[in-house]
Amino acid sequence: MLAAERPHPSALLAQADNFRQQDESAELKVKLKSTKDQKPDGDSEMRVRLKGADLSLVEVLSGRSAGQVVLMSKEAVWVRMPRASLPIRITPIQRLMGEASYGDLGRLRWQDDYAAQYQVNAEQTVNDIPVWALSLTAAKPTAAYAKMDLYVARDGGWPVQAAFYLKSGKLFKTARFDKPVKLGSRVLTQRTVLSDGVDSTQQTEMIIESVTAKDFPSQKFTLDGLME
Amino acid sequence: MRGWMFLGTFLVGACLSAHADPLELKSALVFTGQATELRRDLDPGWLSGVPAKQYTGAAVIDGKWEDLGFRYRLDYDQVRGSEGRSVFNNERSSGQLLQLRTKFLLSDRWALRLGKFNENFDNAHYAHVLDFLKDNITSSDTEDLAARVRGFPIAKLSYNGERLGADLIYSDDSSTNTTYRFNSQNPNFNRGIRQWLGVLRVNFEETYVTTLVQKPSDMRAGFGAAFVHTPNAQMQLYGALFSQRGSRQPVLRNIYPDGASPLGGDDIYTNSGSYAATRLMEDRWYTRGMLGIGWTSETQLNLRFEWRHDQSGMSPQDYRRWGQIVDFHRSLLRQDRTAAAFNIAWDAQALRARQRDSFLLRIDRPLDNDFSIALGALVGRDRSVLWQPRLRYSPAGKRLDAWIEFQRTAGREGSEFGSALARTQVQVGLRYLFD
Repeated sequence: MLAAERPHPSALLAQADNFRQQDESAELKVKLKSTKDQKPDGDSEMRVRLKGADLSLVEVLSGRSAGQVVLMSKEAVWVRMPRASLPIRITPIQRLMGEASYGDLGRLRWQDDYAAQYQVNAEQTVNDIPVWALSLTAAKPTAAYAKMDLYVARDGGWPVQAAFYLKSGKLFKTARFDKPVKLGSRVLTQRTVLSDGVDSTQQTEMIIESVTAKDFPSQKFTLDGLME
Repeated sequence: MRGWMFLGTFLVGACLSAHADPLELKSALVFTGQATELRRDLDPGWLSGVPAKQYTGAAVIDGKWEDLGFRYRLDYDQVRGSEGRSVFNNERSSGQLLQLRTKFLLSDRWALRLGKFNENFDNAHYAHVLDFLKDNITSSDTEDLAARVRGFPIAKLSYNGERLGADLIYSDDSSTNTTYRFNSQNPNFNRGIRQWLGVLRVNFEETYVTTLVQKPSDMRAGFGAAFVHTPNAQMQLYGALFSQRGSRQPVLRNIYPDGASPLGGDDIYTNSGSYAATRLMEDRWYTRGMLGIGWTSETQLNLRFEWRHDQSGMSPQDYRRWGQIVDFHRSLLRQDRTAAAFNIAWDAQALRARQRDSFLLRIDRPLDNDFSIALGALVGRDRSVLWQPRLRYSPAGKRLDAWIEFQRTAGREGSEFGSALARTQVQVGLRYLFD
């Protein structure tokens, strides 16, 4: 295939993002299931509220971190621990549960945080699916990962697999994305399996149970909103 | 009593509403036990009232109903201390409305918030330069595990835009009695005043800047700014500055820079000749500032460093004078033990502002899903240190939370922490969260 026939990498990235977040403002119900050596290692349910490209509020409803609320904005990540009277500011890399970082839940649009280009070997096959192989580098200092390898289905443009790297070059985790399904009126990737970069027996399934387009007042995504 | 009435009014309102969401109530039991060993040479008369042992049991209720949230604490407290004639063994029980918060959304961007809560304008772990609406400006109890943080009565009008935000805040805490006294946790600091704050917040991508003006009812207006910069996902740089004519921190008159100035009506007297001078309406500008850096490694080790400078603290020269005053009062012990002991205890406590510079280094790390460990070291300019190790057991997904924290001050005789009243303190805490 000639290079000219390839879609532009940023257009391909936007297409992949479209299977993760379609609405400008939405509420998601997400379930996390962790396993270690194929044995259950905890479940968790969350309510994720998204507004635009940068704002999200993640509320942990059940599981080991129940009661935590996390506010992610362009320049900060704030956590309100259960029953705390004041929020705590943390660095974006700080991980608070399992294999899933808050960035995996609260930042669903890669196009806002990363610049994409094709890998040298741009056409590959992953799990028998022909894919475009993209290399993503952080375009913002606050992006949770320094680099990503993303494999996007050549037929349909949905994300198939990804590898996330830290600044040191260390493989942090990998992700496998199920083929998108119809969820209400949208076609979305419903299930993502995140695996530890070193010990692949540690896995976390991220399942989007529902998505509702919903507008939230900007005041909700402030420190005051986090405390209410 | 007033807290109960306040809470009762809101709860009755909640019950009367036919269309309201149900009232959500969560409760917790908190137990803390604390033992303190004092440096007796700074309190030879056992006058400071710092308890040797203190046991507290509390029931904390958090409630939420629609846009209204509250926290109420009912506690029982037992303190024991001193020896000889000054032995005390007191028990106390009380109830207090710690937090109350409700909001009125005026539009997508505008909101009015009313209640009793706290506000945070800097990113500090320890040196809270801009925390006018918290009990203490030098506190590292950011997690408030023992649920003690008390809100301030506040009315806050907020605008929240894409890159720009602004708040107009009025707080009236004048009903709180803050008489300067021995062993006061927060002698006359942020409490007991009315204050206005105008705050402007601007977001420049990875940098967040806050500027503000504060006008307390008993002082002139002060001006401040803070920033947080996130250069990458692992690091945060932050700082804050505040400048105001006068200082809320009183000072022993004998080391006061303008020691010859006449006594003012607000000056604070002891009944044995030693006295401190208020600086509330002084013409001199005092500035306090803080610079900090936080870093998280890929293995989740968190490091934090903070430098704090406060011009209203003691200069090295002031500190030498303070040492001379303490020595002088000590020399009087044989002549009039009671009066001398009283003065020494006063000297030790009247100067909580201490020296002008201090440095905080803190390391914390989760050990596994259940345990985490933290070590803090607060270092004075004279290299004396306050060590603060803490082990916390907080099993994932469970309702139990337990911790043990030590505090130990160390340094040569006469140094800042080497002459701190408390030498060693151990706190054991346990909380159980009911859903």
